[in-house]
Amino acid sequence: MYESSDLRKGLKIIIDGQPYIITEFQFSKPGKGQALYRCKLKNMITGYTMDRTYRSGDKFEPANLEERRMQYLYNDAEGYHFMDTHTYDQVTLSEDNVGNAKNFLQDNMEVDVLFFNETPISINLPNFVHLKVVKSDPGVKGDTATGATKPATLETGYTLQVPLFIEEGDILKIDTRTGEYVERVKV
Amino acid sequence: MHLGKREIIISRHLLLKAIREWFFSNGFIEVQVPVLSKTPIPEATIDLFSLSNKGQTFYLLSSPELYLKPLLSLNLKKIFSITPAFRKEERGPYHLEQFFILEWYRAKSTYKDLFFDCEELLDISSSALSPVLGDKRIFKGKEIDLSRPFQCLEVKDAFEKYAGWDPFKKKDELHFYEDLAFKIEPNLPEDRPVFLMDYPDWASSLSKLKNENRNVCERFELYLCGIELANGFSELMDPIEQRQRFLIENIKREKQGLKPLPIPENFLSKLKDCPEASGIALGIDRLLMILTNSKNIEEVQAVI
Repeated sequence: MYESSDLRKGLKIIIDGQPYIITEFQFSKPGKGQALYRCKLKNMITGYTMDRTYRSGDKFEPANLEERRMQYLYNDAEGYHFMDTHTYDQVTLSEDNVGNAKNFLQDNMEVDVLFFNETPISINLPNFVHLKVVKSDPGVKGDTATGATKPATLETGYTLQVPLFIEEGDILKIDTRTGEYVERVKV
Repeated sequence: MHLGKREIIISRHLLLKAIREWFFSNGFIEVQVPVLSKTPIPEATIDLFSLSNKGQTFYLLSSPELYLKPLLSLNLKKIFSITPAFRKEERGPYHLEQFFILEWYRAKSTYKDLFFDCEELLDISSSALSPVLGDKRIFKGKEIDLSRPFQCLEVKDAFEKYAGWDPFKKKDELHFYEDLAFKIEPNLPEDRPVFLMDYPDWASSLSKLKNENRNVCERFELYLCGIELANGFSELMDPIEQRQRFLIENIKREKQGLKPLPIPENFLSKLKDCPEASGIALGIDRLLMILTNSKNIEEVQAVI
């Protein structure tokens, strides 16, 4: 069990049976008053965030979370399928649990699948991925303003803003945390 | 401007020197008190470090009050002390498990007499740092305004204005401190001091209640730039009432899972010989943090 004084940013605890991560943390102790531990918490399954204030004496159950390296196989009506490359165990995550990561998933990509009490709840992608542009209209001629952009669609179906010189067939480096274009890696 | 450790240590020296000189020139004597005791003051919300020697438990004191206040009984009228203080599990930008307290007492005075001391001390503290910091004091991007008199705000008015309830009509301790931390303090002026004064009777175990209104204790907190800096009050000198309050503090401790502490009998036995007095404790590290525009009190520790 954790105590209030163990609370800090990044700690994972169980509240009402659900795993939460502390995303913001503030310690307050007005003179002669009890210590107050104010937390912003994010539900690791639903993404729902809430504020809670705890006091000394409160106890917390650590969230039993485990990360496993798995390979992305395919998606269908059931969801997104992943395989453990050592045990060949397969798991399926819903579209909600995969979240924005679906924009960057490629067949055979290795990702970290997060399990809560043996149930897969989310995936962590590498910070950067390389994806091919499948559709992008040529940049408007004469539009040379610095920083001008145009939309481009990637092989995963994800559309983002890219510089005007990008063409169909280019391979781009994408930051999966922001969903933004970083650079062109191959023409 | 962000100060390096060298400038911080010089600033700390200049601050302490100016504070001591102010007390000396105002007729105070400096007292050096121990930091260990077998019978510390029982306070509900402070967890103490303990250590043992030959089967006996000693505690590191969370303030010098235990030793300092009884000295008033020796006909010492104006005393001050600068001591280390220890509080377990207090850690945040404005909290550390060990820090320094400036505490002083004035015999034959009440809490309002301390307002003048506070105004003077902040003024001379700020001036003392001019060799390092120049003329202006900036904290979190705002210039600090120490013009006098400092503003006074009654707890009752602050709660009605910012929290929407009156803590003198409803005794709800948990709610009180939560609203104090998250509704009142964020609304206090960010660029100047303010005295938050006249707390509910249950909000201080060592202060005197007002003669004309027993629901109010004669206690104030000095805030500077929204950060609590000093806690002062008219001292309770009635040993019978004080004993009852210690017992209540011990009950509160048990409710929170803290061990009750032995009653400090020696402290109680001296109170009857003490004159009326007011006393106050000020956090030296927080004062230095604000005046040097540091982010937290760890930055102003003399540790590299």
